[in-house]
Amino acid sequence: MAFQSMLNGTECSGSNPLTGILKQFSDDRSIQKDSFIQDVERAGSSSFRTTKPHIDLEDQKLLSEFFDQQQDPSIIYKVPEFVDPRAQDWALEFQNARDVPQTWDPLDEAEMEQAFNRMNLHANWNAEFLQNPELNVSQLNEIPPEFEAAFQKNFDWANEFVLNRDKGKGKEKIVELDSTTWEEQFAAAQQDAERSQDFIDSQDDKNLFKQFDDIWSQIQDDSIDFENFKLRDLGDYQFEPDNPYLLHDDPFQEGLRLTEMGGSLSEIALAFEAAVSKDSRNSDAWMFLGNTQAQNEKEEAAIRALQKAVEMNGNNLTALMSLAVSYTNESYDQQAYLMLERWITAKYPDVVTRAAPMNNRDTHSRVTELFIQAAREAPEGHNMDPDVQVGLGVLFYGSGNFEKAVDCFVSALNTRKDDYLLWNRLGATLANSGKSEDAIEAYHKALDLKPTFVRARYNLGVSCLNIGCYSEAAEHLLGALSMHQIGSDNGETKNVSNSLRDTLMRAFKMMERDDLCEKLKTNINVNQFRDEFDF
Amino acid sequence: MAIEGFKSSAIFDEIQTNVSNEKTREDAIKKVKATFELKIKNPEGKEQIWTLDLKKEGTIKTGKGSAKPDIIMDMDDDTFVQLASGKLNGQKAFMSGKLKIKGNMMLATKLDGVLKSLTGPKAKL
Repeated sequence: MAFQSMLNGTECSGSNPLTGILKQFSDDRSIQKDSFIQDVERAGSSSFRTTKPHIDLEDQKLLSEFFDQQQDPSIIYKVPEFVDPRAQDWALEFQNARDVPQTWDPLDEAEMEQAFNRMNLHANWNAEFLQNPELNVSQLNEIPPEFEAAFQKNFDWANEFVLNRDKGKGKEKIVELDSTTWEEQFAAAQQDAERSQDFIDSQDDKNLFKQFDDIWSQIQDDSIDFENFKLRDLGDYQFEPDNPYLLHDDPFQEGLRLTEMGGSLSEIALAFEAAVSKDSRNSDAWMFLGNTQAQNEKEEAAIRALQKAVEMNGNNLTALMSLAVSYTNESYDQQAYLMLERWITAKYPDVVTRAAPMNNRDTHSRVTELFIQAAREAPEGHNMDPDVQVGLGVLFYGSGNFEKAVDCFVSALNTRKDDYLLWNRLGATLANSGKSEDAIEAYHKALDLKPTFVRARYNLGVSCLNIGCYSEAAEHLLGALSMHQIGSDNGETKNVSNSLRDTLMRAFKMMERDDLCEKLKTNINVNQFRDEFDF
Repeated sequence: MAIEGFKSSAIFDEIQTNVSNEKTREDAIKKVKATFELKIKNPEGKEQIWTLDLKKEGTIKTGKGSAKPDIIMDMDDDTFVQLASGKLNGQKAFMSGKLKIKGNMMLATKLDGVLKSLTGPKAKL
């Protein structure tokens, strides 16, 4: 995925000094694993001695900051609210570890225990380190032996961090641990650790350490991304190969025509893909493509296309609103709110200029206030702008105010009874606030208006799952997936719907049908399920 | 169980739905064997506690549980949502001070896995 390349790129490894430093230390882990305290000699195999690290001035500065512990670490290690795909890996890794029969992750515990033991022996190692006259930070190029020794013994940085904050200043405590409870906890941990010693030995500790390392680089990356909003796009749109509409004279019009006729969303998407291939600056074509893919339950493709639409025309209102909705679905809340701010600035510039300054309010409350002002301008009847209600609905949904969100969507529906998108949005809001039955009604309304609406069918499947109707859920999901097939082609498309596939898998799991799970794993083609399910 | 003003509420609803399935519930108890007390604070300053019992009953309830929890975790509404959506993991949250822990620290790392397997699927706007 594009995220991975972004995270793995030189932005991470090259210019990030802290990562650089940590990478140099990372191989120590293996030493600590095998020989606990005494065997410093074995450091020979660590990257410490063998590679003479070149720590430049920036690194030294960071290094001294790190050890001084004087800065408030939460400033450096700010974690903003953006996607972190590696967190998925962490969870996965974690789940994989869990499949081995033990109750804890003894790897973590054992290491922490060892760290604790080393701490006891070398209680103020960092003070020692800094006081050592030879260890002038500017001389770190040589890595004096004391430094290495201290480091190898005590480099469980996560715990250093916690313990030193606790000991040193006493002002801030991340964790309610002091030296006494620490011991108790490790006594408990020790028991479990002893039980699973084999597991520890068999693990690849570099793997674990890489995770710590990754976290550091991610923290750095995320702080970068936070400032530079643009970096956060998903990458380029992925086009389907062998698109017949590329030969069409006017694929854009064809797309519109097919939409009017109620054709398959996947087919319509192809037409718009051809349209943007012919004219990549056509904001509306990108917008239609994005909207089509969103309705087709292909959120990533939708986001990529909508981002392009907005890039080509920053005032494309429909695209801005759609993008805000897609971001909300993917939990990119901040970005969603910023899109809504752009929307209202484009459509209601007067409201924005007239609004009192709101510098100390967070984005969400600021944008909500703007929308409320806009709603006041044209409250009832013909003048009401249903899109303002939709925007408000999305804002309330985003902050968990589901009842208010429902009110907004209902309001909007009053003037747009046939808006299937709105019915679906109402349904989803109801569903995600626990009102599955009401949600199902709303979805049926949406599907009556637009039978090809894949997303509404997906949502119907989700709600059926939530009320325990597993095989009915499977039928809806299979129905939705079958709409992705274009013509008689049973092959896999470029843009797939992971949400559909994953949810179908869940449905099979909840039906306790491992055979169906296996079938789905090997082949996405839904026809193999037609003998058992009706769709 | 929907608590207005808390995004976490919807997530806890998802968890409740998932643990109502016997197999899911039993699997979770077998793998986790712990109770979590989660104290969530929303942007308006309101606080709400949820107790996730993956030790005996396999339930998620509002308020404190009857027995002492194995871990107490304190965080903002947003932080919990990020944890649940995989945008943040327990370690990072802890390191950046977004997550406060009392009790068995190890369980904080387990929470990521728990959330992954017990949440969703979500309806899409």
